[in-house]
Amino acid sequence: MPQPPDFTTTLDVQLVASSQAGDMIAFEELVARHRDKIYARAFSMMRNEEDAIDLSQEAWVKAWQRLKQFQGDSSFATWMTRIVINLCLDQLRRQKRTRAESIEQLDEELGGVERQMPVVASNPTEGLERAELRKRIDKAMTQLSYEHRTVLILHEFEEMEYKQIAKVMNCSIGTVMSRLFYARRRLASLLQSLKKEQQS
Amino acid sequence: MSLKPTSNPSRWQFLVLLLTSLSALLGVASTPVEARVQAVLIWGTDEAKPTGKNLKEVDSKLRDRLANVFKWKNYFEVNRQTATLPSSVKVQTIKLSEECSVEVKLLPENVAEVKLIGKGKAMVTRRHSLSKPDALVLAGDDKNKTAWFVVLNFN
Amino acid sequence: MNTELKLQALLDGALDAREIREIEAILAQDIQSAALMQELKWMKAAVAGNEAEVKLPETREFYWSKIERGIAAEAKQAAAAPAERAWWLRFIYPATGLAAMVAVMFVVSGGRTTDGADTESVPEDVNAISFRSEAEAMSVVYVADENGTFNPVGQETKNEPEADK
Repeated sequence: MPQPPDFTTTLDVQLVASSQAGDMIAFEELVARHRDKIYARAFSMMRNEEDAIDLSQEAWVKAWQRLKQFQGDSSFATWMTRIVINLCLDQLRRQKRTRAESIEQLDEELGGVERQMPVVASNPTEGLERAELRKRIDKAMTQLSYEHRTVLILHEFEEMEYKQIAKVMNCSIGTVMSRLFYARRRLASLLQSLKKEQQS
Repeated sequence: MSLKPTSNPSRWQFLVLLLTSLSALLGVASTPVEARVQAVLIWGTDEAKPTGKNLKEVDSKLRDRLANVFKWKNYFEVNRQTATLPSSVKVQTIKLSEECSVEVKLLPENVAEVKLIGKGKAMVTRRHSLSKPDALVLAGDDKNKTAWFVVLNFN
Repeated sequence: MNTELKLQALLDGALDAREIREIEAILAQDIQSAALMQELKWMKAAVAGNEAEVKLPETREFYWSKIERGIAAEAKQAAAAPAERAWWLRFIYPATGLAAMVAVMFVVSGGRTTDGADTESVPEDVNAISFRSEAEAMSVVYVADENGTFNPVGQETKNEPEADK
C-alpha cells in the first residue's frame, strides 16, 4: 500500500508548484499549514465562528481555482490572507446593506466623534500580562464597527500601508486615515474603561 | 416441444457450468457467515449535560475519539442496540429512536451495506468494508448548533 | 490633512522630511498634540503583535473534506456552464471535472488505495460529505443541514425535566 507523502521538509513554494500542476495532496498540505492563520483572520474580521469557517473554506476553494495566478510576488500565506480578507469584506458589505445602522455607527462614519473624546492620560495597557493584554484588545475590537476594526487589522496585523488598505477597502486614503485615527482613539477609550472596571 | 436430456454435454457447456459453480462457491465463501453490529445514537453539544433522563455521557474513549474529529465538547448517548447479522437474513433493522433506524445488510467481499432511515426515508446508504477496523460514523447537523451521530462498530 | 491625522501619519512613518519637520515643531509647542501623540503611540505599541490567538475548531480531515467538496462542486459547475466556447473545450471541461473528482476521491481516502467498498449514496436533496480519520479509525458520512431538519435524538429526549429521574 503506498504511504502518504512526507511533506515535513517541503517548502511552501514547492507545494505551490505541485498544486499548480494539479496535485491536490500538496494543496491539502498547504491548507493544513495555513488553515489556522486564515481562519483567525476571517474570525477577527467577522467575529463569528460559523462565518469564519465558511469564508475561510471559500477562500481555499478560490485559491485552488486561482493558483495559476499566484506568481510568488508575496509569500503564499500573504496571498491567501488577501483572498480571505476580500471575501470577508464582501460579506461584511452585504451584511451592512441589510442591517440597520445605529446612531453611534452613523456618527462614526460621519467622523468628528473622535475629536470630542478626551485624551487618555495614562497608558491603559501598562503592566498587563501579554495574555491579558491580548484578551482586552480582542474584547475592545469587538466593539468597533467593521470598517474601523478592519482598518486596524489591516494596518497593525497585516502591516499594510494606507494606500494598500484604501485599495482593498475601496475607499480614499483620507478615509483610511480618519478611520484608523478613530479606531485607535476609541480603542484607547475602551481599554481605559476596561482598566477602570478591573480596578473597581 | 419437449426437451431431451443431453447425453453428451459439449465442452463449452461444461466450462460454463464449472465457472458458474466456482463463482457461486466464491461468493458464498467471501460473504461473512455472521457479523455483530453495535449501533449507538449520540447527541453532540457544547452545552452542559441536560437533565434528560435518557441521556448519559458516552464512555471516555469514544468521547475522545469523537472530540478529536468533531468540534463539539460533550457527547451524550441516547440509545445503544446490538444485533447479530446472519448472512441468511437479508436485512437487519435496528431502531434507535422514533425517527431514526439503520438497516444493515451483509454483502459479498466482506462488505456491509448500511442504510440510515430518517422519517421513513433513506437518508444515506453507505457500503462499508469490514476488512478495516474502522467504526462507521453517520452524523449530521441537529437543531441549535448541535449534532447527532450514529456510531456503528462491526465484529 | 489636519494636524491630528498628520500626527498619526508621523507615527506610521507616512510623512516626508518636510512634513516631519513641520509636525515636530507643532509637537514641541502644543501640549495637547503631544498628549494625543502619546495616546496614539500607546495604542500602536499595545496592538502590534498582540492579536488574539485563534485556532480553527475543526479537525484537519473534516475541514479539508469540505474544501474538497467545494472544489469538486466548482469544477462540476464549470463543466456544466453553457458558455459559448470552442468545440474542443466541451471535451476538456468534463475531463477536468472528472480528473478533479478522481483526485478528490483519492485524497479523501488519505492518498491510499482502498478495496473500493467504501462508497455512499444520498438522495439529491441531502447534502453529505464523507471522510476518513485514520488516527481515530473512523469512516464518517456527515449530513450538512443548517436547519437541523432531521432530529433523530428528539427534542423531548434533550429537555426532559430532572424531576423525572
